[in-house]
Amino acid sequence: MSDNETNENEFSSNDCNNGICQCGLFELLPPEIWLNLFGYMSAEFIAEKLSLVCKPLRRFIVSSQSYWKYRYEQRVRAPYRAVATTNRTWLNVCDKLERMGHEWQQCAEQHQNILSISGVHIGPIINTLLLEDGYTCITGSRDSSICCLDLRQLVRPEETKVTNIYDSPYVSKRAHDQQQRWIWSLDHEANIISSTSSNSEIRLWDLNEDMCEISRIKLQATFAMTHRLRDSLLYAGIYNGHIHVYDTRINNTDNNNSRVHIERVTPRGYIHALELQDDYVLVMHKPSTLCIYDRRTWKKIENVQLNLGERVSSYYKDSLLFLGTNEGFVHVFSWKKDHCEFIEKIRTEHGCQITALHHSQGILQTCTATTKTLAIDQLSTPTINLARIVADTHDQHLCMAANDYGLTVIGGSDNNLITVYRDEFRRWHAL
Amino acid sequence: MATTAEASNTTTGNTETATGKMIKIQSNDGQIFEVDQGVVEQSSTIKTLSDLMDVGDVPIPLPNVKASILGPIVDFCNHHKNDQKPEPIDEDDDDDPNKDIYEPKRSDDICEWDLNFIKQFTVPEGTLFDIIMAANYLGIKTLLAVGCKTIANMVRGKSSTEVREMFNISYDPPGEGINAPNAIEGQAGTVPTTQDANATGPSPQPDPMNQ
Repeated sequence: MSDNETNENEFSSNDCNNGICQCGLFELLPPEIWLNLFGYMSAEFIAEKLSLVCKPLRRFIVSSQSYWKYRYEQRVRAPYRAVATTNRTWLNVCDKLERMGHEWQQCAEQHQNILSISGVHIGPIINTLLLEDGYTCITGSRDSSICCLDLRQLVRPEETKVTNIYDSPYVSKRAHDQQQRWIWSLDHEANIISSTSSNSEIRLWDLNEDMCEISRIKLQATFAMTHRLRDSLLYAGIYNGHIHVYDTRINNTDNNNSRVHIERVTPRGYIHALELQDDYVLVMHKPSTLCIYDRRTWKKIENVQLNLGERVSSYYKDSLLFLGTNEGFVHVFSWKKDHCEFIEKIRTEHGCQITALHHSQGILQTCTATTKTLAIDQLSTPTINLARIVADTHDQHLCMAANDYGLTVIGGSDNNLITVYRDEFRRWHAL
Repeated sequence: MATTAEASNTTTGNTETATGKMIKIQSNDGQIFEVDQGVVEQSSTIKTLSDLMDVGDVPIPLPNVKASILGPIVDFCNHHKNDQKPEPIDEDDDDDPNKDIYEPKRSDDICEWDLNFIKQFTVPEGTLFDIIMAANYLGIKTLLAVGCKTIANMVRGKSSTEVREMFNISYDPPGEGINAPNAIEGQAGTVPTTQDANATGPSPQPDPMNQ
C-alpha cells in the first residue's frame, strides 16, 4: 500500500468530523487561498511544519498532488523532470528539488561542506564512482591504485581519528599493483568493481573481499579508455577504436576465451565514452562522433558527426545524454527507442572546457579544470544558476561523480579528492 | 439605512471626474462607498459587475464584505491606482486559471505603505483573514498577495506548535482531542521522507540537527 493510501486511511478513520475542521484553521480560508499562500512558503515548511498544525490542513496538503506537480514542473522543464511514483509523491519530488536548490546555495554562499581530501592517492585521480549505498566512493588513479573510501566520515568527524592501515582515514580498502600504471576507467555491478588500466588489462575486484582480485583480462597491445559492466558482460571501449565484449563469468586469462564479441567502430579515433541502453550501445569516439549499435546483432544504427571539438565530456543516465564542450556548452540528447534525438544546447557560466558533468532530476552539475569551478544549474525556463563553487585548491578537475543523496566528488590533478556535500548527505549519514 | 462614505477626492454629487465615471459599491452592512475607475480597475469582481450592468447611480452590492473591511480596501486601491501595471510574463498562460496560484513567489518585497496598511489587521481579531477573503472575493490580486505574504512571513521558521499558538488553535477540542499534538505529530515526517521501496539508497537516519 502506498503512503498516500495509508495517509488517506488514517485521515478517514480519525478525521475532524468527516472533514469538518474543529480547530477552525483550515476552514478560515478557501482552498484556492491556501494554495495561493503555499506559493510563498517552501515545500519543506509546508510538509514538515504546516501539515502538522491540523489534520484537515494536512490532508489537503497531501491530497493536492496536482498543485505539487504543477509547482515542480514550473521549476524544471521537460525532459529533465523527475516523475512521481506511488511511494514518492509530487510533494516529495517538489520538496526534494527545493531543498536541493536551497542547500546548494548555502554550500556556495557559506563555502561550507567542501573538503579536499589528500593522502588517498599519490597520483592524479582520473576516475571515480559513487556506489548505491550513497557513501562509498571508488577512485582510480595514475598511481596504479584503486581506493575504496567511506565518505560517511565527512559527517562523522570523530571516526576520522581512528587510524587504519592506509594513509588516509577515509580509505577502507585499497588495491594496488604497480604493473597497472594508470587506472583509466571504473565501473561496478553489485559487489564487483571493474577497472581498466594502461598496461592493457581489465581487472575485476570483489568489494566484499577486501578488493581481492577476481579475474584479469589481457588486451593485446592496447588499452580500454572506458567500459561498462552489465549483467556480467563487460563492454570495453578500446583505444584502437574497437569494442570488446567479455563474459566475466568465464575466467580464462591465458586465451581470452571470455571474449564474446569484438566490433570495429572506427579506424581513426579512440573510444572515450560508452553507455548501454536497452538493447543498444551508445559510443562516443574521437573526433566527437556518436555511434549507436544494436547489441543483439551488432548492426550500426546511427553514426552522427557532432562537431563538438576534440575533448568532449559525457554523462548518461535515464535516457539522457549530456555532452560538455570546450566552449562551456552542454549538448543534450534524449534516447528514443532506437535513436538519440537532439534536445538543446545549454550555455553554462563556465565559458571554457567542461571537464566532467552530472545530471539528476533537473539539476545539472558541471565542472571545469580551467577555473577549478563546480557550477550547479537548475534546468527551469530559463536555466537558473543555483551555485558556483570555486575549489580552494590547485587541483585541476579531472573527473566527477555525484548521487541523489547530496554528495559530489571531484577527482583532481594534484592527487586530491574534492568532496562537496549538501545537508541531505548529513541527514542520511550523520550518527 | 445606508450611509455614504466619500472614498475619493472628487467633488460630491458629481459622478463624472477626471479619472472617469464614479461607481458606488455597498458593503453587506449597508454602507456605500463611491469609487473611481482607478479603483474599479483593480477589482476584477467590481469591474465585471459594472461592465455587465449599467448600474447608474445604484450601488453594486458586495454581500461578502463588511464596511469595516471594505473601507480600508478602498483606501488600498486608491493608494495603488496609479501604480504601473506589471507586464504579463507569458500571454499564453492567461487562460490558466491557476496561474496566479502556482507561480513561485517571494514574500520579502512588501512595500512600506503596504506593511503599515496590513498592520491594522490581526490574526486574533480575525481581520487579517477577513481582508484576505475580501481581496479574493473582489479579485484584487495585489491586496491578496500582500495578505498572503504577511501570513507567510508570520509563520516562516515557526514550529507547528508555534503556528498553532499564533492562530490560537486548541489542542483539545471539546470531547475529541483530535488535534492533540500526539495525534498529529505521530505522523511527522511521513510526507517528506517517503522513500521508494525499490530504491537502493541508504536508510534514513534521524537528523541530529533538528533534535
